[in-house]
Amino acid sequence: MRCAFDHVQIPPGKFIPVAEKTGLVTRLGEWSLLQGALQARYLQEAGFPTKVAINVSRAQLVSPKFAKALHAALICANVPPELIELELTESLFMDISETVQKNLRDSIDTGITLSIDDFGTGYSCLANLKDIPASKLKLDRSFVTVLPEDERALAVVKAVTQLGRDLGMTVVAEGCENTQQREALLDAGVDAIQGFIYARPMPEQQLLA
Amino acid sequence: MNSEMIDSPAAPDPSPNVESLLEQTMLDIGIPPRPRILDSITEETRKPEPDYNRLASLINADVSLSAGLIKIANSPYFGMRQRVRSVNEALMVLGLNVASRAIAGIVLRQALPISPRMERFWDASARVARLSGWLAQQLRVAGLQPEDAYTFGLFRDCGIPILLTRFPNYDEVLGVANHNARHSFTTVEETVLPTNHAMVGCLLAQSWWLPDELCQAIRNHHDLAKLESAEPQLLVSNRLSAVAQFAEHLVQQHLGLSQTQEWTKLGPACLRLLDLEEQQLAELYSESLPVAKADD
Repeated sequence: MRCAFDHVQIPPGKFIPVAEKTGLVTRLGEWSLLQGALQARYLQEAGFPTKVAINVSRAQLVSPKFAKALHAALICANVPPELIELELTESLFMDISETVQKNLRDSIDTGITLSIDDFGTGYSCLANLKDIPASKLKLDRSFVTVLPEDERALAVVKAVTQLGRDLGMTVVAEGCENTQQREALLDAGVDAIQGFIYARPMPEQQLLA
Repeated sequence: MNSEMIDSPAAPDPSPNVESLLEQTMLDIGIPPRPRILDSITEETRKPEPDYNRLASLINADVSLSAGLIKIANSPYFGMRQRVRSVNEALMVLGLNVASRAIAGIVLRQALPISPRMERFWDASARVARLSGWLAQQLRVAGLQPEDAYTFGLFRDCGIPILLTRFPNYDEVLGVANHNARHSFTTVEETVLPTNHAMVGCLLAQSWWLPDELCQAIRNHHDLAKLESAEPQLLVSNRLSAVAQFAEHLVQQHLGLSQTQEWTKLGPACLRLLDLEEQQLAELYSESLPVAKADD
């Protein structure tokens, strides 16, 4: 998600902490669930049934109302849940409480899929990884940007790819910026690649154009 | 509707905006999109000299919208004394802010499905909305604007028609929820549905860019813990919930409608939020009678 203000794009790293401080983050999160679901619906209507990924923060998942809001968003947008993917950030790993686990299970029950974002940094923890019913694991960009030179990073990429596969997830590498990186990633066996090598964040009209 | 209130429409505006003025078809999208006329009004309010004629011609392109707006401007319970005959006058008398709320309410009703069941629903909502606006004027509680109270009355339960179209058994759920004296309305809904009408309504209101307090109030209006919470940022939204709940209670009393259990569960908290004393209640009961019974 991006926030445009006076034609300047403000990255989520800047505005999410502000929202968290002002207590707006829950409803900002609910708003983004609905906007994401509506985008998916509009793209489908325009003849491009594409999976739309919506970022979900830890602050949202600790709310007991999260799954209700997700359901409400799917109802409001009348969108097939298969077209929605929730991206969980690694901060989720800090502690996976009963509420969070229930929210994740209830979310899966709607028919949407989960992916884990920025895996391998910060709080990412293998003990908790097995408890998150995600179908996609996204490897943090810090392992990708140092490729192909950094062989130790490559070793991590290979191992995590294998781990993800064995847990039944597809593994996606984030932050790929050039063809050498892409080749190294393909050699390591990742299932998909994301990054500015393909596209930068853009508004919907530009995407459809 | 009284036909004499409809002014002769101005020449149709040739701009392409008119066709998309009210995208009231729900298509297969679950909620109606925010009406573009609201964007046009917001645009004008930002100008030093708003172009009332432009807005009036946009509104006049839709007969039921212009008639509805004039009717509201003439409603004695919307606080206007002057007799209004045209959309332009209605905009002047109401002011753009109030007019845009009124239009949102009209469009919401147009955009959602029509059936005898829905007619009763909207009739009740409209009464609650008018009475909420009237109460907000009478009570003068800090932070409670009459136009917000009115809009809240109209939008409070807008999740219900949406859920009715999606869940065939939802009407039964409503019946059970209305008569449950122990559990909150939304808790009862959630025993059968994956979500509740307050959450759906809140999302609709957010996507229409209604003020934050209104969205928050829609989300929490059955939540006793929230209504009783001392969080200062919930005060205005809680007062909106309280005034509408009180209005609904009065409407049910005055019209001899079946009494739901909401007042039993939420009444004391609402009276506290509105700083109402027992002796004021009797007065308000009698004074509110004509407002509750009025048809527009």
